[in-house]
Amino acid sequence: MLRKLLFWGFAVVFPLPLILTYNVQGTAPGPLKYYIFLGLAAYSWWLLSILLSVRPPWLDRLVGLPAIYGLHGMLGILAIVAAYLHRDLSYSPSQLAGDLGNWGFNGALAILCYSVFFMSGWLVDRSRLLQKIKRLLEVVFRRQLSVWIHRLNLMIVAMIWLHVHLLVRVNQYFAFMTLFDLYTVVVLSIYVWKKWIAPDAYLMGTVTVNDARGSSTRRISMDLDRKATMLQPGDSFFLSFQRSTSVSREWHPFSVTDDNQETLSFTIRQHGDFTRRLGDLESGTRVRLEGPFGRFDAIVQSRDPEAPLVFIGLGAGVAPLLSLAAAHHTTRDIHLLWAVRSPEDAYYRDVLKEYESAPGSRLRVTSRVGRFHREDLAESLPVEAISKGEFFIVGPNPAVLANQRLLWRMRVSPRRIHQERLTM
Amino acid sequence: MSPKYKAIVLIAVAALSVAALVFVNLHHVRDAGRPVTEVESW
Repeated sequence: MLRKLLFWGFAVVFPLPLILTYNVQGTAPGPLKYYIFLGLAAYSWWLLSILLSVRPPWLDRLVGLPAIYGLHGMLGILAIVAAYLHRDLSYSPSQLAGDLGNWGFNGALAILCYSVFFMSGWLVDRSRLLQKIKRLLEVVFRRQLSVWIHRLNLMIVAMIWLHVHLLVRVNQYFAFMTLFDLYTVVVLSIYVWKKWIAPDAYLMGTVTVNDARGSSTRRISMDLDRKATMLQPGDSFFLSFQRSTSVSREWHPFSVTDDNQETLSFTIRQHGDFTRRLGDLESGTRVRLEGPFGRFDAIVQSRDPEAPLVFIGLGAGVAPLLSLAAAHHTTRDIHLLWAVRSPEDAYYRDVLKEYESAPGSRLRVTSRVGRFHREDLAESLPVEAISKGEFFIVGPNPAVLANQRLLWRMRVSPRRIHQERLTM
Repeated sequence: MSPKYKAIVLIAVAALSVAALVFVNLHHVRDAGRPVTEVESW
């Protein structure tokens, strides 16, 4: 909690050097100065949002990817609010500067609305109607197109950068402008490093197995060129398949299914335009892996060692929970609840039985077709697990949210509920 | 291109950008010659 507060606090601190420098140097009268501060805050938050989009694994280990992307999205909204007030309350003496500011604002607003609908899940995951509309629209607005539309934010930043350089009321202050340009160059350099240089140092692997599991899931295994020494149970990677004729190179996150640092297996539900094409992925395809990401194992290690662990896997969401179960089934009381769409989708039944019957195993598995209801949880879980257990839910977004609400109704504290949603 | 050369190119481009921007910013200050008053800037 403290880490997350510090993390969010950084968003408040990030624009301050720019604002304070302008405050010292600028001679604009009181109110105008504050409106300029709003513009500076908006610009800084856009830059910070770009910085967060590089998702450094060390930051993920500290606060988790959901917090990183949560702040990334919130900064987009806060920046729009600040930019709106700045635009509405101040005035630009230069026609071109004013036009650039307006285009930048309108563009950022349009991209924000697009991203909230197609990329965030903030609204869509909470409405079946919106989910249907999104599915229809995704025939045209595919994931990769959405990513490129989202990247137009870089153009917006360029426009706002030029807007500031054209304004005499700010560009006359050398120290301020130098700091402003340093912010921009450093952030954009980090972004370019992440996209252009960092992938060369990522793990590489070769696809060895691509099997169907159940009606709409695949298990893809790959041998790594070197060990994934940082891998922890429950982790995920972003994968990019290189030179495949069936899928593009775009990055997608998938959870590791088992606990092996040399050969990684991923259980992938085929529900999007990208994952549906994975059935044709050839054995021998080279894969680049960014990561690992994840905090599940760190949470397991940091909480009360006597507290039972309750894993709720929804369909292919069982994948990271399987590796957690493999790592902890002899040392912790684990209740694994697995909801599947049909009996043939319970493809890991044998593996789970193996863990369950291993000597010293403390794992109990309950699988069922369809969602778990309140009475199912009450029946499957001992009272101690509900009152003290740490809950881990993984699955498609709407299902995770539904299970989270179910646990809240059963008075499970939000602090004991940890979730990973299968997005992107 | 190897990551080492890519890194050199990136650092060089970033440093040149900063140098160019410093030059442009100095130019702005020289153009003004003095702090521009609020009336002028509006």
